[in-house]
Amino acid sequence: MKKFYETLENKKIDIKALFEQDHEFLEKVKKYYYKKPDWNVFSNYWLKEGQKIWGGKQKREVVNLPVFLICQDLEMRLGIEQGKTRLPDYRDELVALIDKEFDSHYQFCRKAGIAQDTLSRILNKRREPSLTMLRIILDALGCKISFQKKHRL
Amino acid sequence: MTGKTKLVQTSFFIPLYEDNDVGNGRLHPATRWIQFQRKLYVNFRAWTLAPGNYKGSYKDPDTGLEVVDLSRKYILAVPKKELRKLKGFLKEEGIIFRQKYIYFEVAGKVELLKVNYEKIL
Repeated sequence: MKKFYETLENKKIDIKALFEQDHEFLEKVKKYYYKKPDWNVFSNYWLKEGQKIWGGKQKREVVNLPVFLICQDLEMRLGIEQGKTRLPDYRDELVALIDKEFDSHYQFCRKAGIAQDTLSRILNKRREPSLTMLRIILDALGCKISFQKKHRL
Repeated sequence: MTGKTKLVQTSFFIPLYEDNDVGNGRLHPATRWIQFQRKLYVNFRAWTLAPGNYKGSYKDPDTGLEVVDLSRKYILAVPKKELRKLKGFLKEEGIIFRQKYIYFEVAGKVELLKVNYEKIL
């Protein structure tokens, strides 16, 4: 049995640390997952079943439960297989970081010292950034380049 | 007073693809759905998704052009007094999906909620 569940967001969840009730719940959900239902139908299933075990907990606590994260991840894996969503790429991570750290792309571009049109072309896949440009962008976000293993669905 | 909260059924459509003007027309990455559903749960506790996809079209009030999209349909029962909160939530969260409008229905009445997308540009 695997010790960790690794999500599409590269979070490692320690499965062995789960309560027995969570294990049983996950087994049930996984069994349904392997039948490859429509991702929307699967979403309804895990949420409804999950409410039975976490219904009384605080909402903020629930969305951080390992089983909640795993269920969401399984839903997304189905969505990817069914062509309804996709694995995130570096552009998506850039957009998410810029949205989180800055009020607007304009503000970000001012800080990075790049033209808004340049950023737009990169984010809209009309231009591949050079390594130098990527470093400028990442510097303005306080980030650096690192490597991680590719996902296998 | 019965003490029971009156719930109203609402539904809204989130397109599978980014808007071509506001975004790049690509499929949303899985991380966006994950983020959205976490926020949806924190604010409104649960959701139901209609099976399959919904093909819809509407006239973009900005361009006057017909926009055709494929969406996930969320169904949510909320206390009547939280309707405004839900609409506000969708106007904000529609930004991460790079949409101009969110198609919203309450008690058979349709509204196009204008997403506050200008603020990220």
